[in-house]
Amino acid sequence: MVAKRKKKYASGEGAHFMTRKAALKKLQLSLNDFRRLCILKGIYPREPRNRKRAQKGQAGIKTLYHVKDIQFLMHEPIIWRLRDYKIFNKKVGRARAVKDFESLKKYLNNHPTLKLDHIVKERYPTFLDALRDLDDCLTLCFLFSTFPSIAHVPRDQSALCRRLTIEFLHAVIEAKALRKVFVSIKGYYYQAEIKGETITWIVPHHFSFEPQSRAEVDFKLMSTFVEFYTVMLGFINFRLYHSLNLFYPPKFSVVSQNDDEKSIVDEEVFVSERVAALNFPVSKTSSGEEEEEVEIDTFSTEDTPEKIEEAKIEAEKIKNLKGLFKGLKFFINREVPREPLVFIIRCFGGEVSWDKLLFVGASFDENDESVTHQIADRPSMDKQFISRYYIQPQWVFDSVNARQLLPVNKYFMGEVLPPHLSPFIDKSRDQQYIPPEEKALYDPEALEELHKKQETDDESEEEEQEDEKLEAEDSEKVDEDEEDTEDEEEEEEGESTKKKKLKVTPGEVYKEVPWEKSKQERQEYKLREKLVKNKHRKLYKSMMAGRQQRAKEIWLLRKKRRLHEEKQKEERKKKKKVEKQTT
Amino acid sequence: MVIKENTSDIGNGTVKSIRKFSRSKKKNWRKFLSTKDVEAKAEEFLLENLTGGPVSKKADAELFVIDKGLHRGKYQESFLQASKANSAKQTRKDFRAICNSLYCERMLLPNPHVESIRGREKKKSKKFCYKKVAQRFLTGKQGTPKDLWCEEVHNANLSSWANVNFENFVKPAQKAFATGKSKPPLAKLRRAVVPCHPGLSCNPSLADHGRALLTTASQIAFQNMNSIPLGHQFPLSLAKSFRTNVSASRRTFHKKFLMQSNSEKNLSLRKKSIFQVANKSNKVQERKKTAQRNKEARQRALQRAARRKKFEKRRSHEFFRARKHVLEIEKKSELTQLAAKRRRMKKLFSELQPKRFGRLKYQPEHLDVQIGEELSGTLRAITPKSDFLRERFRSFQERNIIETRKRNRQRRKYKLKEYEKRSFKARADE
Repeated sequence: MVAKRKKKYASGEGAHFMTRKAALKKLQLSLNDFRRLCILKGIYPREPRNRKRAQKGQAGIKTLYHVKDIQFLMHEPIIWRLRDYKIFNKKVGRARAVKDFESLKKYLNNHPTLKLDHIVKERYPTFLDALRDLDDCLTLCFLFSTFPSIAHVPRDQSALCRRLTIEFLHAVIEAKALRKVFVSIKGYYYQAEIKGETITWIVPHHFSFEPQSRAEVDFKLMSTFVEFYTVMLGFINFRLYHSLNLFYPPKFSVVSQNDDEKSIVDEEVFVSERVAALNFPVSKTSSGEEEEEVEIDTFSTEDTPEKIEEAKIEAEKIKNLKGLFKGLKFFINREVPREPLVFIIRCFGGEVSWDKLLFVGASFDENDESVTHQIADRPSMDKQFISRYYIQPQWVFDSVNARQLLPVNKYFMGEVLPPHLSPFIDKSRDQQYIPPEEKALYDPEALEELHKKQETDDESEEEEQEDEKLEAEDSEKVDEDEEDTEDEEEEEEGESTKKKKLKVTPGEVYKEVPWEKSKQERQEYKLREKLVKNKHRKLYKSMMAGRQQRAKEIWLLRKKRRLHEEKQKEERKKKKKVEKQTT
Repeated sequence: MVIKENTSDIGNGTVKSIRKFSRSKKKNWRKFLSTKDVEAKAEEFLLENLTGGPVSKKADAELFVIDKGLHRGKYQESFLQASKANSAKQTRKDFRAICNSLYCERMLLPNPHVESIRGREKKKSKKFCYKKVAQRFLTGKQGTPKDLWCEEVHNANLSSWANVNFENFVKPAQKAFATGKSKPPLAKLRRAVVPCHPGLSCNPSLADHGRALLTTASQIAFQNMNSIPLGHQFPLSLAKSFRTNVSASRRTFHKKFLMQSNSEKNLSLRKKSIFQVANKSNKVQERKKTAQRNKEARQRALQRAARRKKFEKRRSHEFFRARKHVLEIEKKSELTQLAAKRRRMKKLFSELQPKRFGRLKYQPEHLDVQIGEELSGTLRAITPKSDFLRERFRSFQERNIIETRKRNRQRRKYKLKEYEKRSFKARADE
């Protein structure tokens, strides 16, 4: 009896992986449908350890999937829907070609639809899992909400994205979950904390849509992602609203007095516009219940008292942050981007309004005397009220990141703004160049030092001139004083020697020579370096090289900063000279 | 009616003869009797007793299991309370049985509310509109909103099956990751939205902007270096040639000097071995004497004893070396842990890198930094620099969610046209 020969690639990696072509054949789907299905189900291609075995000896580089993933896909009911789509397209094409418009109409009215609820539940069994994946979802939805109607992006999809994103913003406002903001050249970076999960998303700037080449971006693919994410975001919004005791879809009961519309064309449009304004508080299901203050549990552990204190301080800071703009009233000028500022101000308890001709939902006018801050991005304004501050929009973002109301003087109209620093820097890294402005934000003492330094630079120039005069006078006095001091020292020495002979004196202070000490330390360090084993020597060298590089970078940056400041000093000197000459 | 039996025929399979009519004609009324009804009734009665009684006489609670909101885990307390009230000791098995039975019964019964996906149902669907689709999935068919992650059963009146909301009893979540492992795919470990470089701020500080410019310059330089062929790269080629020269010189040194010495050594060794062989052969010829043999044996025994003594002494002193051994073990374990951690980090790092799923490789892009002249400093003067959609698309590729591919260009297929030349045609006509 001949033993059965084991077939090649029947076990191991060859049995675990499958090429895309084989997967298409197994699932009986076209490439586009397969791609769509993979995106909806969250199935990704894999890279095997040994490509030759995984590809069963085939040459080239092929896209491979896990066999188990494909088997998982086989039981998906959506496949039938995709096949129905194919049949539907065929029927529609045939009816159109044959010019059978009645049946064409029938087919179009009874088109197959996709339901993705079960996929959302499958991919995200719990609410927290869905929150973890919310970054991508929000970013894409915000992006697609700005799109016009394109080939693969229907108008309704972008409208749906817009609606869902605004609902999410309302939820963040009500939960007061926003923590960090950063304005970059790409867009606005927001970071919020919901149910203990930090969610970061980007909202692009409102510029006109730029058409993309097909080679760069696959619109069909992206719209498939958005199709899934809209469903997911809908469920998340529903859950968030219910956890915050809000009605979903959002309703509002307060109607501003400025709405002088005589005829309401469409109630839905009316509601949606006011919801999009982000200025009206959404009505709650349960009235009169405020947020319960959550106290941090203190367990009696001797090991981590510092951590508990840090956590308490952090909790207090966040509590203060939530009411940062409480009691303040903002008015936004026309040239300032309305939506991001309204969102941020309302997140932190402030009241905001704008010109009613700009957008629906303005709650008060520019002439309202109770306005405390007016946000303007112009060099100057003709009419200004004394009772309010005219500031640039960067003040709002910087105050949020600093978690306190910053002094307004640097953000006035026409002023050169301080740099807008990123709040996402990793503070745990030791070797990092931190500009003095940032240091000043964290240490109030450093802030004072910065101010003092700037003041002293101005004053030092004047003092230098005065010092030159005084030096000539002082030099005469100094000579006289030196003679007196020498006599006093001689007398003291005589007394001390007598004392030494009679009494037990304390030990002499050993004067450490610093260069000798450093020399010894260096020698010891070198000895320790030599003790490093050969195995770890490479790693050690790479570590030290990295450290030296970082130190070099920091030194370069400091040097640049020093040169820049010197230049500025010289320029200021020149200006003053010119001014003096003119006067 | 008299029944006579032919006793001889019993057991043969013959039919019993029954005399239907009596001779006296007194009981002729019996011929009009039929016991079929009675028999049928008797059978029914038997069946009912066997099956437990007539269905109409039974209470609803005996026939059906009424769902009073019992769910495993969540409402165990209510179940326990109910069991206490009933003063019957219901065990966990009973609880599970109830839950399981409810679940099975629910899934088996036909659900009028759930749409059949495979069937070719032609429903009167409305015009395709995303808005309405969105409304439909958010609000259920009954008009009530839907919570996908709800754990509690709606506290609705469940006296009749019609009120049971099947949509809330969602199937238990299938394994989201079909590979069988509970870990999420590594694509999810990478952050979808990475905070951008501080130098990309709308109003960056000098240091941040400088750092961003430096990084982009180094990235571009690195890319350019890789694109230039090796022969043209001045510093690298020099270094390579230097290395090769050094290695060549080492090899020659090794050959010239070390091998010679080795060859000399080999010679001496060979000589030794020859003599040893010669001596051995001489030894074999001589026979040992008994005294010599005994002496050798005694020496061997002494050596053995000395070795054993040394071994035992060393073993006894091991107790005092325990601390040293423990320290050594601790050091080694630290090193092994460090090495293991390093391997894990390396593996994770390599797995999080953009992978190659096809012919094309993912090419990382450098930072989109603005030059000093382009810096605006205000929101009003911001100019669009980076392509947002393209970035998102590229981030999907970087995180190994989709493969990097080039769109296939539609190549024109030219049809082969056949024609006859005029001159050929004229000749053919002739």
